[in-house]
Amino acid sequence: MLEKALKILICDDSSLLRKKLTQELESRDCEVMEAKNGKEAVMMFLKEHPHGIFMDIVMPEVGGMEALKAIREIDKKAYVVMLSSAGSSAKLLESLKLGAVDFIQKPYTTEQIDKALTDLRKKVDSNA
Amino acid sequence: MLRQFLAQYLFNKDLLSSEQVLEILEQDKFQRVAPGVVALHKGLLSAEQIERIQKIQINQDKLFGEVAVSEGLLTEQQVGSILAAREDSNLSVAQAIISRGFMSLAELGKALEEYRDNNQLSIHESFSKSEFNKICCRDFEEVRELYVEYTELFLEALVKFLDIEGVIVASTEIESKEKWLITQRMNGEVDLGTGLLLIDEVVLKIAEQYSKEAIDGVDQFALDSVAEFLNVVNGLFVIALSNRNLDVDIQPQKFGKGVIPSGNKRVAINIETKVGLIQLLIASDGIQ
Repeated sequence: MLEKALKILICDDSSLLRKKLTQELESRDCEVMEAKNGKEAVMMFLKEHPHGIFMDIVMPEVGGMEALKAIREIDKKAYVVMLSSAGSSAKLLESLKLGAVDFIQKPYTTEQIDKALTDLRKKVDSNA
Repeated sequence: MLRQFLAQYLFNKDLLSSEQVLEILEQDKFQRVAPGVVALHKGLLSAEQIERIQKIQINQDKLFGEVAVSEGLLTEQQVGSILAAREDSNLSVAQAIISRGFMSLAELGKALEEYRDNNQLSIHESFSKSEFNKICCRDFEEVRELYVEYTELFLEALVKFLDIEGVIVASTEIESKEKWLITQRMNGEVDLGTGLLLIDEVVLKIAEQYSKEAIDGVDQFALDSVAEFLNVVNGLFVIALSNRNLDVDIQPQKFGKGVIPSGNKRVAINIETKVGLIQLLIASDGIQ
């Protein structure tokens, strides 16, 4: 049986990161959509219901933590992986407390993305 | 970073020009190092002793270590440590200086001897050539250590993420008219503004190196790439501060062209690189 393509939302204000991560995810047969800030991410989450989200923390207007909080209020099971250059323990704890499933420090590695996708695939399959 | 310290030290002492330093750092990263250079670097032999060994080597067709031991200048254990250290990248700087004829063995030996006594001071010393000495502010000493630490991290990141070596050169007046200013602020228990002042060509080169993409002109993608590089450097700095239990947040990056950089206790550190001049700005609050 063919696996259902994972639908992923990338939220980052950097066009570089959006482009690179989209290439990574599309090469793993994911369906990718992009948002430039937290506000756009929440709107897109409501509209598209992605399986998972890669969310930057530091963004203008609405930041990643705020968006994470809003998305988890909409859906308690939302699968959100936080991305940030500033991977301090305080930030890590804060994002986990708000319901993020993982925290990846920039610049990310292919292995970190693979692990996040494997975990997401397991979650999607167990809910099928 | 050790090789960069040594190169910077030799530049600060006017023993090498910035062009020679960059040539050495950029082109001789993996050069095989002669055992004599290692011995000189480790302070095990003097330049005269090495030259004596080399003369005997030529006449007797023996290995450097064999001659050194038979002449009673080194023990076998010391020869072993020399051979093991040949892969050490910072030694390639010393080897490159000799190979390129920038200094004689005796001159290098003397410089290394002085360097061993002051080896952690090269970045601090570079700062005395920058704007630091122009600022007559008692409070400035409070931020000096932090600025030096950030600059060291920045120089390391240039190599790690962009494969660009840099040497700190004398500061010039800030001319921002035709330049891009890319900034980011860190605030919390430590407040620090950082920025890069760059001409178009340097923005493009950094963007291409960081994104690994060919870019035609300075557009949003190019600026985002440079801004992301700065963001990653600052992220590493925030982590270093966090490891000392200092809680610091990082703000979104900003950029603009022809912007006159602001900032309290602001300094501009000129870093000469193969892609052109990078002006690193650091302030004790936001820049821009």
